[in-house]
Amino acid sequence: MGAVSMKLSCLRCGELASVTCVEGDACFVRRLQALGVHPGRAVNVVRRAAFNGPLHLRVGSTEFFLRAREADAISVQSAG
Amino acid sequence: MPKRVALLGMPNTGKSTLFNRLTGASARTGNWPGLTVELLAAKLPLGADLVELVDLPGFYDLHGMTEDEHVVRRFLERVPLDFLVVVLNAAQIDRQINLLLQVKALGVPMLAVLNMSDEAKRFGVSIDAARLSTVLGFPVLEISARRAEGLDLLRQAIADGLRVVNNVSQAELALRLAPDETVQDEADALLRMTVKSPRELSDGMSARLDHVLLHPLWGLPIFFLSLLLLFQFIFTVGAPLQDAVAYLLDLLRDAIVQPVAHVLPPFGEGLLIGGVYDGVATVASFLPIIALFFIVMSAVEDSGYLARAAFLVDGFMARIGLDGRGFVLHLFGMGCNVPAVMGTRVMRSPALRALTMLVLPFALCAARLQVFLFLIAALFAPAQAALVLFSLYVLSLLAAVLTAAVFKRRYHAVEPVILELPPYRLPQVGTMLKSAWNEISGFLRRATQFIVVGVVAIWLLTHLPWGVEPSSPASFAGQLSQAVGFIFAPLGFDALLGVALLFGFVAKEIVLGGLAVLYSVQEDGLTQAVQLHMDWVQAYSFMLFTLLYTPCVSTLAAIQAEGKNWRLTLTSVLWSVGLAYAVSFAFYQTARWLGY
Repeated sequence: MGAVSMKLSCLRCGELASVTCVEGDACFVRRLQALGVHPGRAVNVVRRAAFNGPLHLRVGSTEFFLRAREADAISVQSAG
Repeated sequence: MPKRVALLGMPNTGKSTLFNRLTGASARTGNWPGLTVELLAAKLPLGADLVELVDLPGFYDLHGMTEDEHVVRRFLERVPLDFLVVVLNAAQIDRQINLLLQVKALGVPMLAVLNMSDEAKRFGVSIDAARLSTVLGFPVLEISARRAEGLDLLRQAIADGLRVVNNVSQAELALRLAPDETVQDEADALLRMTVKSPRELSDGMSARLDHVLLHPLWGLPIFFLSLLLLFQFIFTVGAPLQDAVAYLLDLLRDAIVQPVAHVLPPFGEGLLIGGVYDGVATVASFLPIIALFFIVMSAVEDSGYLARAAFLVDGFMARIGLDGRGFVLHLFGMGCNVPAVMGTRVMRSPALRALTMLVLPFALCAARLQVFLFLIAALFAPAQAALVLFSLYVLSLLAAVLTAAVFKRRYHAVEPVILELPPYRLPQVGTMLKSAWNEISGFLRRATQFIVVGVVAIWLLTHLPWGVEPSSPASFAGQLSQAVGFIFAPLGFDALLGVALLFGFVAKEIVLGGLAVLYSVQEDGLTQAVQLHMDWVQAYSFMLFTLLYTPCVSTLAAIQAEGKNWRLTLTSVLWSVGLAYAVSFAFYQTARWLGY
C-alpha cells in the first residue's frame, strides 16, 4: 500500500506512475484509451512546456501532449 | 467489376506511405455516395483480380465520435467491400491492437500489416507475428512501407484473401458497427502472448533531439530561427529558378506564340498575347518558388517537427482561444489557405473550428507571396527586400492573433487537445516530390480556370469599348476605376489598381497577372511600369491591403463547405475587408503625414 493517488498534473517530470482512473466525457476517455492511457498502464511526464503550456507524456512507445487541465482528469499512483 | 479493398489504421502508422507504395501515381480523389469528404482510391492488378484500393482517413477508434471516425463508419456501412487491410505501427502495437480487434469483430475478410517493423526493433519491441496470426485467424505481415520491404508478400496475401467471398451484408455490418464492447481484456491477453517490449520505451535519438528542440527556453527561438532559415533557403534557391522560367516563357512567346497569334485579327492577337499569355506567364514564373515551398513544408511535416511546434506554442494559443493544432494549420495555410481550412476537421468543437477558420485566411499564402515578391523587387532596394517581406509575415500573424482575440468570446470553446508526437523521421524524397507535384498540378488547374478568366476579363475591360486607347479613362476599366476610385484614394492606390483588387477576390494570383494586363506590358516591362505608377509608400499600402482583404473565392467556398454557416462566411469577408481598409488607411495616411 502506501502509494497515494494523485493527479497526473502533479507528477514530477521523469517520474513513472501507474494510471488508476481517467475521468471526463466518453469521447475524451476513449481517445486516451486509444493512445494507451487506461487503468493499470504506466505513464511518464517527459516535460512541461513553458508558460503553463501542455504536458509531454509517454505511454509505452507512444508520446503525445495534453494540456494541464486535461491532465487533471487522470489519476495516477506513483510507481516508484 | 473490380474488387474493393479498404486500407484502415490509426494516424501515424504510415498508412498513406503504404498506399502510395502499392498504387504508385495512379491514385485520384473521388466522391463516395453518402460521404461528404473525398477519399483517395486507385485501381491496381492483384493476382487474377483488378482491385480498387481505398485509403480511409486515419482514426483511433472504430466506435469513436470524431469527424473522421464517423466518415469511416459511414463508408463501411454504405460502400460494399471485399477485403480489409488494417495497418498498425508495430512499435505501438501495445495500444493499436485494440483497433485491430474492433475491426476483426466486423467479420469481414481481412489481414493485418505491422508497419514500421524496423522502427519497432529500434524501440526494442519484438512481436511474434506467426503466433498472432494463428490466434487471430488471419494473416499478420511485418513490413516497412518506407523501405519498401515485404510489399510483394503483402500483395500476394491480399490476392489470396480475395478468394474468400465477403458474405457480411451492409445491413449486418451496420449492426456490427453499433455495439461498443470493450476489447481491452482480449487485447491484454494477446499482447502477453505475442509481444515482448521493454518497460520504458524511447528511441534515444528522438529523446535527445527533443531535449534540445523542446527546451522550455530555447525551443521557440530555435523553431522560429529554423523557419527563417527555411524561407531564406527557398528564396535563395528559388530566385534564379524563377528568372530561368521567366526567360523561357519569354522565349516561348517570341518564338512560337507571337508568330502563331499573328494570323489572328489584331484584337484577337492582343487578347491572346497581352491578355492570356502575359497574364498567366507572369504568375507562372513564380511556380518554382511555390513548388520549393511545398517541398520544404512536406519535409518538415514528415520529420515530426510540426507536432513539436504545436506543443511549443499551445500555451500561448490557449490564451487567444485557439490551440497548437491551429498554429500548425496556419503554417500550412502559408502554402494555400484551402487545405488548411479543410484541416480543421481534426477539431470536434464547432466553435473552435469556426474561430480557427476565421483566423486561417490571414496566413500569407503562396498566391499573395507572388504579388509581394514582385512589388518588393520592383520598389525596394535588395538590402531592404527581406525585411519588408518579413514585416508582412509578422503582420499576417498579428492580424491572426487580433482576429482570434476579437472573436474568441463569440466562438468560445474548450476542447481537449491531445496530439501525438511521433518519433523524428528522415523525410522521404518521394513524398516531397509528390506534394510539390500536387501543388503544381493544382496551379495548372487554377490557371486554366480562374486565372485565365480573370486576366481575360481584365484585358477586355481595358480594351473595350471598341477602338479605345487601352487602360485610358474612356475604357471600361477606366470608367470602373473612376467609379471606385474614391474608395481607394485614401489608401493611396492608383485607380486602376482597384480593378486588379476587385478581380483578385477570385484568386489572388490575378492581382499580379492583372497588373501585367492593366499596364499592358510584358512581364519584364512590368517592373518599370509599376515604378512609374507608385512609390514605396503606395506599394506597401497596396501590399497591406492585398495581404488582409477578403479570403479568395476558393477559401470562402472551403469555409462555407466546412462550417456550413453563412454568418461565419460573411463575417470572414466583412471583417477582413474592414481590417484591410483600416490598416492600409492608417499606414498610408501616417506615412504621408510623416512626410514620406
